[in-house]
Amino acid sequence: MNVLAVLAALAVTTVAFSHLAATDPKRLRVFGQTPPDRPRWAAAALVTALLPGAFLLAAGDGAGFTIWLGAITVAGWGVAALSPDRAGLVRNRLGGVLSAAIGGLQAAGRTAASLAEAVAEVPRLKARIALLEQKVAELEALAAPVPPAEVPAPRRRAARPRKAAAKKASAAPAAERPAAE
Amino acid sequence: MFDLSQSQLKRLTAVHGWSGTVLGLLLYAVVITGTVVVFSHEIAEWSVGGKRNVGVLGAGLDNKVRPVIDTMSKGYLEEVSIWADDRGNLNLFPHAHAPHPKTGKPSNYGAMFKLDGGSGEVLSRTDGFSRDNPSWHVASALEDFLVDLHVQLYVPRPWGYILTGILGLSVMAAGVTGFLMHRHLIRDLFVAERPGERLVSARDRHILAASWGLPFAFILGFTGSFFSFAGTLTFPLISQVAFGGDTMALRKTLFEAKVAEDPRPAPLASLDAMMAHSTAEAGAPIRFINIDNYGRADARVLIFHLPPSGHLGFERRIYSGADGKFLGVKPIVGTKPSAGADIYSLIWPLHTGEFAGVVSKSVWVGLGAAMAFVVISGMRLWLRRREEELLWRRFARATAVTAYGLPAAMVASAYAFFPALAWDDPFWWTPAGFLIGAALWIALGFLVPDTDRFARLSRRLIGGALIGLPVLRLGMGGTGWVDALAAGHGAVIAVDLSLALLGAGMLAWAARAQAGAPLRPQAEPAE
Repeated sequence: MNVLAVLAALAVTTVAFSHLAATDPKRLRVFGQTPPDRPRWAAAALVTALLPGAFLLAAGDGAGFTIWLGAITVAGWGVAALSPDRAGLVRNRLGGVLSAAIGGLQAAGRTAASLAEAVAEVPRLKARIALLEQKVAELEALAAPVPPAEVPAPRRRAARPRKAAAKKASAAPAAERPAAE
Repeated sequence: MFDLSQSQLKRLTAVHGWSGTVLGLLLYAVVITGTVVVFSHEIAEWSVGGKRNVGVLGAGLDNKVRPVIDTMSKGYLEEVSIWADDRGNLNLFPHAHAPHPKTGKPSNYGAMFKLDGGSGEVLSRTDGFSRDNPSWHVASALEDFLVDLHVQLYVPRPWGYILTGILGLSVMAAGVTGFLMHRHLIRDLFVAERPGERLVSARDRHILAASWGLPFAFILGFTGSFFSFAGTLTFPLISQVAFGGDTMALRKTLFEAKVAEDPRPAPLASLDAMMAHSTAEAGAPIRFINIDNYGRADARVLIFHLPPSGHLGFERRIYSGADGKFLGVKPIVGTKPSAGADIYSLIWPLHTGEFAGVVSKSVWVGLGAAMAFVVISGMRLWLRRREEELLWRRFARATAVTAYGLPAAMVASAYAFFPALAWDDPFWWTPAGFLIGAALWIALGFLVPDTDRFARLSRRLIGGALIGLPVLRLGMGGTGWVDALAAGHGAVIAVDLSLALLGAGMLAWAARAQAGAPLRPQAEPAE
């Protein structure tokens, strides 16, 4: 037995029952509402309500058919027991839930699309990175023959008072004087 | 739908109303307990908790049961039954058929072994008539009590069965008379209850629920009645008419595999191999194994499977015990496929909803709840029309006390069960708890004379008690959720959550009734 098939069958039948309930002339009259001018499509809705059961039977799913048959009697009662006002309230809430679900699905779809785009971008990015790496390597190769220049040692000045330094310099032999002076 | 004269309609209304009034409260008891016991296996698993062995009726069974059976004397080997209980232990029952001293009718007499489902170690052995003491083979006293309450209203055999059988017939009678009485069944199929809590609103409420529930009310009534009368009336009658009163001959003809007598000794072929073949062919787990004439050349092994996917009926496969050869699929009655056997095989799944696991059972709970609503709404409609008279007002009070008191007493039986399980005496205390709960609710009915207040108070108390039940279970040493998940006890968590949700729903209902419109409308002329 395919549970999803049974649930789908039940959903189709419940929607068809909801349509039949929402357009039922006696129900509308009892609750002081006027039936709409447009056609009711009662026969089509009835066929739609019963068709899922026929599909389950045709598929040889006796258990699924029995579950569907039991469930539609409870679902039908539930649909019919709601007054038009409460049914409208439920419809609005369900609509809200449904639109939220659709919005969520759309957002998920957008996220999935951007993810797919990002995934599709990966080979192009890889190629670009490879090209850049190649260029860097070429530039490095061009720069390689030039030897690094010798850096002269920084000049240091002794931290002595000028007078003392001059005195010492005059007293010291020429060989001991700092080269820079 | 049918053009009936005024007098015909009056007679039908009288039959419909009076049958509902006289038997309504009992019918409500059967329906509400039936709604609960749809999940009897899950309730049993939830209530006993603890260690659980899975796949007990699978590979390795042979090595567990054969050493025990081989120690038994020949007299016990006429039939050997093997099944798993809700703790996952094995029940092994080598037995014969002997006249019961109380009834004089043939009954199963033998040695009931309880084996550890994992190791095969013998945990207990009790000798006697198996029906005398359910604690020998039933794991959960709570499940046993609730099922008993549904099938025979806790009234001794055979009267309880006869009573529930009559109730099943009354459901069908009410369905037929209601169908004939209601002229605009199809036209009113989508007409909701008219506002204002008028008499016509009560009528709309009853008719709407009854119209939608009619097909399954008829099915559930018929199948329930069939089971109630099968053991008490139908089979004894067939036995008298066709078998000269020999019930064993009837049993052999209808339910056992046909076999040529051959008493020569022959060891049983590999039980594991037969089970593996049977499971592979049926595509569904094994529920029960029965071996006739164990240790003889004419031994037959009957393996019962749960309904295969997409099917409604259980499957019964027969093997030759001596050589393990597959002999064929056995119809539920007789030896050859027949329309009667096909119809018979549908009765159990259609009554219990036990054919597609939790999905089908959930739908059957919905059907049961709808039927309970039809019974109570019908009684309220009948009483509303007669509320001017004191006697009927008192009956209305009794109806309200029963409507809330019965679920409350069922919850009370569970409250008695858990402590009693710890004291090792649940089979006495569970029904006692039910009776105490029922007595308390009757007393509450006297103490709170206002029906609306009584209803709100009942909802609050039942709601609180339902929420407290998982707490009590855990407090008395029941399996925790983590252990339950680890042991594959999904039912423990599911039942705990369902009780909490149901309790919260009852509390919300009580709060809404208090805050909302008055429950009792103004009196008005009949519509």
